[in-house]
Amino acid sequence: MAETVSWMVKRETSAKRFRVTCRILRCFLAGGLVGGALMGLLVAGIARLFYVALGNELRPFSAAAAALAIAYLGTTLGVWRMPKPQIAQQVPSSWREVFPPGVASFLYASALGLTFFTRIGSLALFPLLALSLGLGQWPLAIVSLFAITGFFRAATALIVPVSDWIDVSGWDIFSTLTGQARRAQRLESVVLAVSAAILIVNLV
Amino acid sequence: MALAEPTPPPSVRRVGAWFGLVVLMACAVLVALTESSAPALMASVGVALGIWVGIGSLFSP
Repeated sequence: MAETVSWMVKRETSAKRFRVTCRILRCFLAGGLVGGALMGLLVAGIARLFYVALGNELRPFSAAAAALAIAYLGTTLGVWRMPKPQIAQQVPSSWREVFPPGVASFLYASALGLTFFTRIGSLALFPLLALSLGLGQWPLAIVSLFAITGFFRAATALIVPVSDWIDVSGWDIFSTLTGQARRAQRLESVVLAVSAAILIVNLV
Repeated sequence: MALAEPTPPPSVRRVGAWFGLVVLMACAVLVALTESSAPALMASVGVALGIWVGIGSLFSP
């Protein structure tokens, strides 16, 4: 994603770059929010079915989320492997060549916001889904949760102007980010462990 | 033409600190809205997980 933003800005003349960067980032944030909200609507629909069938049962979903957080914690710690169900597609890079920068950015971030329909690296998505399915009585909360997820996923594009990566090659961006992957994985372990602990304490 | 040396990216530790701050704020709002009930706790954990899903995906491109 960071490479895409950099690529779209880099082809503009210096005079236009600031304006184009602002437009691209605005469209990225809006797209992430919209894509996430759409995914939230889909999950809220399924959660509503659970709510109609089971009533307002929070504990089984809370327990499932805690179990998934522990299961995926084991994966991040390298103890065992767990499946990552998702449609592991990348957003087509041809969009950025076909559409104007604003439209391409919106579409790109919307696709990222749809979480399960693009390749997603974080394992925290699965306990999040279990929790969301238990909130069928509050569909707006589910839509908000996924809108937040999509928004923050799209907001990572802000790393390009913050780190001054406009003129940096896509490969350099890629290797810098993957160079931090191990530390990010440790932080993910902390997020999963703390989430599981809070949910278990709430269950007991 | 030589490219300017890129600014180092924000460290994971700094990202973690921002993450914690945003999650705390979001959770405070949720708890205030739902009066500390069980769904508020679930939603708060959901917010933390959701924000991490967004940020964490950046580091595994």
